[in-house]
Amino acid sequence: MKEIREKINQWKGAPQTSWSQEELWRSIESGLDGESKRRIPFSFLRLAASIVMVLGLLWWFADRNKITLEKEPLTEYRQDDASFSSIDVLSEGKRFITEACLKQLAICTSPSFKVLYAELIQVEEEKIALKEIVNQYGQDEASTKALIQLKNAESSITSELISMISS
Amino acid sequence: MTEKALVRKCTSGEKRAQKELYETYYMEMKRLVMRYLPNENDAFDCLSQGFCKALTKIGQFNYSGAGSLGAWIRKIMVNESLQKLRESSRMAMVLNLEATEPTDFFYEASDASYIYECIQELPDGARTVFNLVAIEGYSHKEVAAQLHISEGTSRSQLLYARNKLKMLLEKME
Repeated sequence: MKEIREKINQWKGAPQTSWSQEELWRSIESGLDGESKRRIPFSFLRLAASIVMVLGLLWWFADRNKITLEKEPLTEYRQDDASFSSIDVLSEGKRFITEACLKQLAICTSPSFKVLYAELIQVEEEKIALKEIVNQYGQDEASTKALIQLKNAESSITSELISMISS
Repeated sequence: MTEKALVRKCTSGEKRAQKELYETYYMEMKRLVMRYLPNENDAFDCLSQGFCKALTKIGQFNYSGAGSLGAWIRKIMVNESLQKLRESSRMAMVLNLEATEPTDFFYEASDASYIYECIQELPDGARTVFNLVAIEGYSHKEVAAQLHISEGTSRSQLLYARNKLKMLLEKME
């Protein structure tokens, strides 16, 4: 049995077929395209779920804020005072932005604010994707560096947004 | 590109990496699938579905050293081949054989391509068991579980396949 296994596994020839390697690849490619098209509704569902979740959180924060804002003056979040070295401060900063925009401040509708806010969301998404990669392949120097870069970008964008609101 | 890098790029959906993976394993998988499915249309469908599955599920693959990617794709292809055979209900497994254990001397003398062609000539059930046990190295217990047959049927199919193969090889020479 061992002999036949070795013989067959060492054989490098291939049976003749009427279809070519390229034809098979085209069929695989169209299969892959179909697969990604099938995945689109799920992407939409995920996106919709995320939006609902974000809106829910915003509503919750806004509701909670009615009490906390009285106790915590807005100046606490001024860029001069804010230090974004810790995640807590960063999330507080993001909360401040969310709250401010829920009050429908004019600055939130300005194009420059919108662009910056979109960048912040993108950085957050990249951070999530990077964390998934780290979970899959483990942490290495490259992923650590990338995570630090993203965190720095997140901090500076948040800081800029806060200064736009505060000014 | 290393196997690990190739997997990483395929996971992120890079087309060029996907094609490279396909080109790397095309010949090996074609040989494997056509041992199970000599009909070239069946083999085409099976290879297409198998590679699609491998490329879409590559995120689930755990790299465990050189050759692990090939082994993983091989497993997918074997399963796809078995699925195809099941779909076409061609696996008649009931055999009552009273054959003596053949010796394997004839394999030594035969050319690999001859043996390959003769394997393709075997009936579906016998060919499948022969491929799984003799080439892939599965035990009769594993084959029985995978094909939903008894271990005895698996043994008898193998015995039949070996006898038949011997006859075919003798005929060819």
